[in-house]
Amino acid sequence: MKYLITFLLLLSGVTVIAQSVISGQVTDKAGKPVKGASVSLDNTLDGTVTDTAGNFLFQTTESGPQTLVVTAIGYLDGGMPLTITGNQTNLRITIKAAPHSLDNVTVTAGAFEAGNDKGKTILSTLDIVTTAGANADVVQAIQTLPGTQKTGTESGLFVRGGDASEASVVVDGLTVQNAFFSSAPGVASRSRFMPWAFKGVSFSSGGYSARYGQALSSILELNTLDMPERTTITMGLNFAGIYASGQKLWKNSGGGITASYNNLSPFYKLANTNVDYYKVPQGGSASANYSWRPSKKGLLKTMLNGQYFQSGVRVPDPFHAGQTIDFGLKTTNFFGNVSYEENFGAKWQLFTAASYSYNHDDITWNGFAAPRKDQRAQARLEGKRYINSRLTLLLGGEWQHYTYQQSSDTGNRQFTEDNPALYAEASWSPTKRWAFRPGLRFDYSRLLNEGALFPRLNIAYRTGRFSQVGVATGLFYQTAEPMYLLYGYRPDMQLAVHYIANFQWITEERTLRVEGYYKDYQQLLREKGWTAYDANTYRTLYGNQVVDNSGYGYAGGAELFWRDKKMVKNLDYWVSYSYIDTRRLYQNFPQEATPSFIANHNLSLVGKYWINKLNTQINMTYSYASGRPYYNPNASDFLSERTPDYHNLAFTVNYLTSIKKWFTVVYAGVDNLTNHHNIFGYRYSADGTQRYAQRPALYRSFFIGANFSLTEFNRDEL
Amino acid sequence: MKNILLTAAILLSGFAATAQDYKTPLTATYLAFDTTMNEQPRLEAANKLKLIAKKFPDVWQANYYAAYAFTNLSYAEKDAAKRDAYLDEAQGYYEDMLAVLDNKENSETHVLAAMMANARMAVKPQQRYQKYGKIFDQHLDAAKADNPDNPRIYYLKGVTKYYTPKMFGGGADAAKPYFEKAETLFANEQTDDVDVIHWGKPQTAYFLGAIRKEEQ
Repeated sequence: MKYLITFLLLLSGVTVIAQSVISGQVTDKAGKPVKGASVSLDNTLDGTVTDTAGNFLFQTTESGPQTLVVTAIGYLDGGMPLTITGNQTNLRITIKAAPHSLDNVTVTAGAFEAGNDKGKTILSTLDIVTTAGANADVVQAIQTLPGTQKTGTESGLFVRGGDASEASVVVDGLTVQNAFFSSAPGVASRSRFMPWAFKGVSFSSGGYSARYGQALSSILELNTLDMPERTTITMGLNFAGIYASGQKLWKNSGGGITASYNNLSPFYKLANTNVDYYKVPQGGSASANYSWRPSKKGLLKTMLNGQYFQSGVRVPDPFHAGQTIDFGLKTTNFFGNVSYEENFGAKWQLFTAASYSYNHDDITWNGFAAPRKDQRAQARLEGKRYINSRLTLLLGGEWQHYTYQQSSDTGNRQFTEDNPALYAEASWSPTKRWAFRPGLRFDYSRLLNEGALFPRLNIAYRTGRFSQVGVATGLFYQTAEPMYLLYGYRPDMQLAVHYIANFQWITEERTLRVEGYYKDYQQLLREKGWTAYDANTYRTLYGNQVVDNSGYGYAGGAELFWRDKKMVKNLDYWVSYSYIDTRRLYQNFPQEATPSFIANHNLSLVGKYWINKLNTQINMTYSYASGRPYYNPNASDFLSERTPDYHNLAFTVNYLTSIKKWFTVVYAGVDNLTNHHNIFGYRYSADGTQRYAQRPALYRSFFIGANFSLTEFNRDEL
Repeated sequence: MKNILLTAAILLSGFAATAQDYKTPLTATYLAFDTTMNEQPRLEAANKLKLIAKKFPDVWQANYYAAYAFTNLSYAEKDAAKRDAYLDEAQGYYEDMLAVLDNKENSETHVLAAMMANARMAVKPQQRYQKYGKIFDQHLDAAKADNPDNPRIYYLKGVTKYYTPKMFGGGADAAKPYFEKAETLFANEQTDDVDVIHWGKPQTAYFLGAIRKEEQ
């Protein structure tokens, strides 16, 4: 550099007359030199860049009044007027650091966003796939987030004191009636959703949008990919089955088909099961998807999915503790939806969607047929108006129509329900720091002949570059479960008022979230007329009981989420902790109590470590839950005794490689490594003298599998 | 060598300014930029290309080289925020260039757009490959449709293949045919006129050299 300047000075002296040297130093407000700053005379080619000491030196043939301009990344532009009459040396220029631009704040109270679209999300779909113990099931990965309960003997998502019926799963804006595989009593089943098909997952543990209703606790919103990411063929096999899928991407459209066959024999052969299968779960599914962009502003998406599964299991007789019963299940399920979205200019967006689902569970109890069937059709139409960059209005309506049928030795029962609803919601950010999302929803139940208005409000305030606080509240509701409607009961809607406050601090690499909530349950259902408490959730109401809305309850809690990708290179981990205090008087409870699906303390520790040299990722999940209440007929207080604590340590290893042109992932895992004998409750014999533990289908389990994918195989690029 | 070139560039540009001629300073500065890998002279040359673009806003090539230089600075930088800031700057010149061209893109502007998308992706590959990978492919396809003999298409494709992990279909073996194709096409590209975009020949030779060394 020194030579250069000397050389330059020498040369310039010789070749050009009337050259002036402009030199000096650029510093920031604290006096620290700014390196790499551009220094030039405005509208000339004369200029240079500061060195590491902030110094600059250049020559110019200009003379008279000029403007010296200084620009640098991360600083506001600076400079000074200059009158050039010969050399100008020892110039001192100070520039100010640019204030960090604040991103617009968005509401987060009660909401966990996971997706690939946005910059800062809490989980990506890849995170879901690689969570140990989650078995590539979206819901099981969500269960590592705060606000959820560990489950082992019941299917479903249990959120903040709510039972499984209080959480609703929504795909592309439409409710999924049977989000989980049908299963035998006492056996938990997985959700029907593999993460691959989704671009985003939004888990609300309360205070959700006015777009949705019919859920007292939670909405799990899944959004399918707009287009296949690329033309790919994927095949795989594991202990639970085989699958194949093809996705093709054309210019303005894309689509694909997927088929799978599952048979859990190898999986169950490897470990001792706590469940006695006389027919191991097996079946197949097929699906097709198609997306089309008719123009740059429109997008049509369709998805069809059909499944058939059967299983036979000897389960503890829910009516007679200590005895078993043969539970046979053949399930036929179909789900299809179509959605269309179009932007009209910069001001309007239209979204419309429709779905149909069908589920038939052909159930036999010790050979006696007890089939059940349900169908649902739903349509949604909404318009979004972008009034200006700070205010957006959403207006919409939906119609849900569903029917349930159930047959047994006592006859056939059925009901049909229609739920039309209208909603309006505004997203208003008067400044970059404030965001308000008020909403109002009107929902009508034809069966109950009842309509009501439900207000919602979510507010966020940005406290700093990375941090924000938020509050949310609203009135949430839910019609009685099918079990009551089938038997002719028509109680009013059940209600819950949510109050949520949160603090969130999020950077690219770290996330801290603290959230507290209180939920006030009102008008919960109560069954009156039982002579004794029956712990069986499959109890049958023969119409002898009185069902009314005199139940009530509350849930309050505090939750913590911490995720860190920075502390150790290639290590990504998160910690979720939830504390809950909840009691309720509902259904057949004789008195107010904490329900049997509640553990007061829940902890998840999820870690993922990538070993670059080995192309291998090691994932670990440790889950802990404190003991859950169970009903002991001999105890003096109702639901007063607790099971031992729950512990689970799960590991998976993924090895990435390529075989010929096939990108290959080989994975292996173990769930409940320590073989801890988790117990989810106890059931007692009729006389109360014997008790039987409710155990998960497996304590420790192993699996191994491989996934092969071939991408863009026909692309000729040369 | 590089210092002399740079000095020449700086001096020549001093003359050029008075002559109101963009071509001489642009040629010298572009050469100064493209023939060094040292940080400070590259920064200075990029800065000079920026001044040329500002001084001659109606010359699309002036904007082209400013965008080209800042995209290259982004690749060499380590700090993620700075890399994006360089690309923001490049994006500005790219848009000015399109405005000069009445938004009529050609094979070279598509290649530039593809390179900028690739540089964006390189800042945070895991988060960005889906979005920018697609943009990269689209621009290269368009560049190929406009002129299938543009060697820079295959050079860029080769570079991305080279840096893609083997298990995702990348690596030296996969990249080699692309560089070879680029090399063949570069042999037909004999110009040193700065108005005709012609960068990439020495870079291609560098990668082919590295690949051949790996093979031995």
